[in-house]
Amino acid sequence: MRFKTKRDKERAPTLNMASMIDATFLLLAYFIFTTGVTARESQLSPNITAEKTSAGARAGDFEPQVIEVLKRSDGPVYKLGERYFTSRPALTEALRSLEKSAGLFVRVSPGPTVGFATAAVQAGRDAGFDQVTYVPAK
Amino acid sequence: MKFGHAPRSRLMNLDMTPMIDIVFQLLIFFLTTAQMAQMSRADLDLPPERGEEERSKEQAGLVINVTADGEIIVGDQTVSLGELEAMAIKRASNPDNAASGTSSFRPLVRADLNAPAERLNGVLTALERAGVDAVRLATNPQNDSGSK
Repeated sequence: MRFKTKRDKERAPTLNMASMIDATFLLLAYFIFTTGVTARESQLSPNITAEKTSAGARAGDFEPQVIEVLKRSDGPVYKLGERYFTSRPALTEALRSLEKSAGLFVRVSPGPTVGFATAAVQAGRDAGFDQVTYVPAK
Repeated sequence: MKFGHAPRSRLMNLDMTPMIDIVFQLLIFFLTTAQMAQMSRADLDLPPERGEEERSKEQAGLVINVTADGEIIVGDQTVSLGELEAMAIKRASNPDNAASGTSSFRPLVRADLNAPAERLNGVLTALERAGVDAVRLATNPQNDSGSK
């Protein structure tokens, strides 16, 4: 049996770490630059419910606060009760005066784009509604 | 005048094993996550809204992309509304989601700003039929249009 002598210990192999550190930093830099390109995203969290049209009743009949997102000949509009809004701030301001506990329903017609539908949900949130429900119209 | 012993070896002997372990683990982590992110998130022009900051830390789960021309993409494949509904039913019945009811399963819908709302309505109707009662709509907070 052979024991390690003091001289053996002194002969321990040594590695040049420079190339490994180079490669590690290169990888690190690569990932930092590539992951930084991804855009930050946020989210809106509406409930969803189907439009119920049974027994001659419309969804809006039982829902006290409904924004309808419609498309007219002059462009998309938001309809709240009998009033029509074309601007977001005016809609948000009108929503602020409503009772919050009942929640808000956003009924979106097939005509407008997703941008207008999302804006209505955001207006509800901005006005202070905790419960915003998206109703996809048929 | 000479003091002490002559220096034997000034090279440090470092145990490289933990460093190599960590480097490889980091490499595998970045490779897998970068690939997943690329597969699940299509390049879309999201609605410019501030969103709800407090809920944005939730896990992605099922990510549904709706492109400007109305195409529905899940992962890297285009799906129909029927296929999407089947996918959502499968996910909602997953033991992790089923344990606390389907209300805990909230898919992320990434719809393009210019996509027809009719298509988003179709997606949400399919999800609702699958038992999903809430979704998350992705927005781009960097171009917030709140004042328009």
